[in-house]
Amino acid sequence: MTKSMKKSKLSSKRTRRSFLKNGIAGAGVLALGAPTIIRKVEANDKVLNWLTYSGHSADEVIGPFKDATGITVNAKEYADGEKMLALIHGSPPGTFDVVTSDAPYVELLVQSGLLQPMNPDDYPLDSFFEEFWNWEQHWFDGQLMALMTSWGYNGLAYNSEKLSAEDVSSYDIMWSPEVKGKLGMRDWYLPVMGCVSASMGHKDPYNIDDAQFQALKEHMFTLKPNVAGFWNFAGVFDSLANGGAYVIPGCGDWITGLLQRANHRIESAVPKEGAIMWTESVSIIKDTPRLDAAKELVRYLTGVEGQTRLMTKSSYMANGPSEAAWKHLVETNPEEAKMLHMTSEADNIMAVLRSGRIIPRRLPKNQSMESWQEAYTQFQNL
Amino acid sequence: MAKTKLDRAGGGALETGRASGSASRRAFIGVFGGPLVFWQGLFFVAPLIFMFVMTFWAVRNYQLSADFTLANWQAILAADYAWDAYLRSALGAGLAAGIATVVAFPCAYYLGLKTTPRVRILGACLIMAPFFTSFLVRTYTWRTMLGDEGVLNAMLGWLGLGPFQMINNLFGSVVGYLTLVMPLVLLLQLFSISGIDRRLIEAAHNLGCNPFQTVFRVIIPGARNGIVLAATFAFVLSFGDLISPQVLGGSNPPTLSILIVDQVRGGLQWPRASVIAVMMVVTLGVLVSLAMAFVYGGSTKRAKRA
Repeated sequence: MTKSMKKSKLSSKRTRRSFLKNGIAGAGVLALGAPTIIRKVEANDKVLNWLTYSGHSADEVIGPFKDATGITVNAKEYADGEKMLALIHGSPPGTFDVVTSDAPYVELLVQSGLLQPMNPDDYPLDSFFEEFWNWEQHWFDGQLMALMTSWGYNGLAYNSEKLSAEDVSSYDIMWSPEVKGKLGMRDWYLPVMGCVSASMGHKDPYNIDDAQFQALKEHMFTLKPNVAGFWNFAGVFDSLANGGAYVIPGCGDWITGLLQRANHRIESAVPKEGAIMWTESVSIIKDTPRLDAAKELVRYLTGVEGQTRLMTKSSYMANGPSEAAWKHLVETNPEEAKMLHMTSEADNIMAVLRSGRIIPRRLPKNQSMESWQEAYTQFQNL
Repeated sequence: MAKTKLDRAGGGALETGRASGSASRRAFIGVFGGPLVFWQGLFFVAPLIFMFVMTFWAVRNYQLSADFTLANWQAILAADYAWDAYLRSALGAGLAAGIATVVAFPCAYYLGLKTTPRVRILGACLIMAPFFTSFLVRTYTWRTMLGDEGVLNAMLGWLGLGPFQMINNLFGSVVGYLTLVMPLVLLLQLFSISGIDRRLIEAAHNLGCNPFQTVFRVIIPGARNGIVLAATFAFVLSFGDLISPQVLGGSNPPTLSILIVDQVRGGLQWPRASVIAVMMVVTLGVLVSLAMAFVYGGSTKRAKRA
């Protein structure tokens, strides 16, 4: 008994000692190894760090870029602009080389001095529709700070088995008894409140004075009896597909195209009061040591190959600024082009944009983001 | 007889340990307790303190800056929706804890006392099986089951009933909470019921208790600690859960966990989000302390009396 006890004590000592030894050695390897790994990445021109929206770093989008250039893309993906700001402000300089963001956030990034001016001659701007050459939200003091890669609209998504195109030609449908308990809402205040503001006839929905903001709140609150729920992307998707909602503001082809791919009778409309535009723009981070590779990626994303792939990606569909890519898509994939209203017909999406019914999204101008969010929380809480 | 022998052997080993010096004992505690203290300090206590400090910070131009302002506390404590969300979260979590406790008990009772050890182990494995699938996936599956045109409403429709609204409301959230906590509550109840001395149950039968009296007079008091702890954990997990109220409750209306997300979303208000988080931590801290006092305070008293 004593013998075995002694033995077990010994063996436990040995384990403890080796545990300590191994532990210290392990920690040492980690401590020494980590900076080496980081340095390796720093020195490598064939690596690019890209902060971008979900689904962009998949091979279906940038596969040809990686194959052609041999550049590895380390992508950090995010789902909404605030998260992007948090990531970019919370990371040490040099963490990212390229950032894709929503146009209103480009302004915030410029204010923080994070972006590198771009030379328009470096990129295939001449293949863009004229409207996007001098996109107002991308130019600051005569300098180009971002290039559009994708855009789309947030109007009304609707179930075309329950509602007609005539029904959704105005936001008034949201207040109709026809959609009681079937009016879906996104859980993000910005697109929804933009649509409600547009429904009140505001041509610049985010630029309203305090009295108009108060009226917007009260008008939005009257929607509550019809509201089914407030959903994220997956919830919106499921509710449209499975009858939980007949109409949802703040949605567009980017989501209903995916549902049409799965043979659901869900469509999008731009109401006569106007839909809110969403955009994605690519910028280069100031003082990146990998400027050439960064330019290369921006060229790819704004070129025909990259543009076509961004339009039809599986995470969400998008319109693009490139006329050349539009033509390419109509020729090679007319079905998907139709889902995006990118046809050669007269009422295509570019015609709607030119008619002024697609309004660029901005950040709330005369009130803080907090007060807009607070109004939305009050709405949810009713 | 066998027990006494064991006791003696155990005592002997302890004495030997003491004799070989308290240094190795301290080293032992250091090695086995150290990582826990280090881990908890680094990943629990320090962030908690940081979070509390952050409630006094300010956000300027979408950037956090160190400050000492009470504005965040004032903004949240003065907001009706924050208190509504607080009560709503507590109600949902309370319902989940209550329902889980009542529903799990017969199952735990049966598995713990009425089956062979082999069936009990099989049962415990089956209880754990849901953990093999991500909670998020299970929650979305409920949407398909409970949706307006979902499986359940379709079946009720055959009977000429409904459709009933089962998601995008409190009912949906509670279904989600129960999905989250039921396996845990069942396991904790099962362990505590299995630990009840069978002789007490036999004695109760011999003294003329009917099965119901046995449950209420012997089994529930015997498994009291496990039942209370299980219910407490159920409340804690449900109170802080984001997925159920968001996916199944449709944020309609929002709970505290959803408010936290929205505070950050609308203007990067980490400090206000921290205020809400501190409210939650304090609530759960008080609740867990009360539960612990109820469970262990009672047993210390009993030990003293003995």
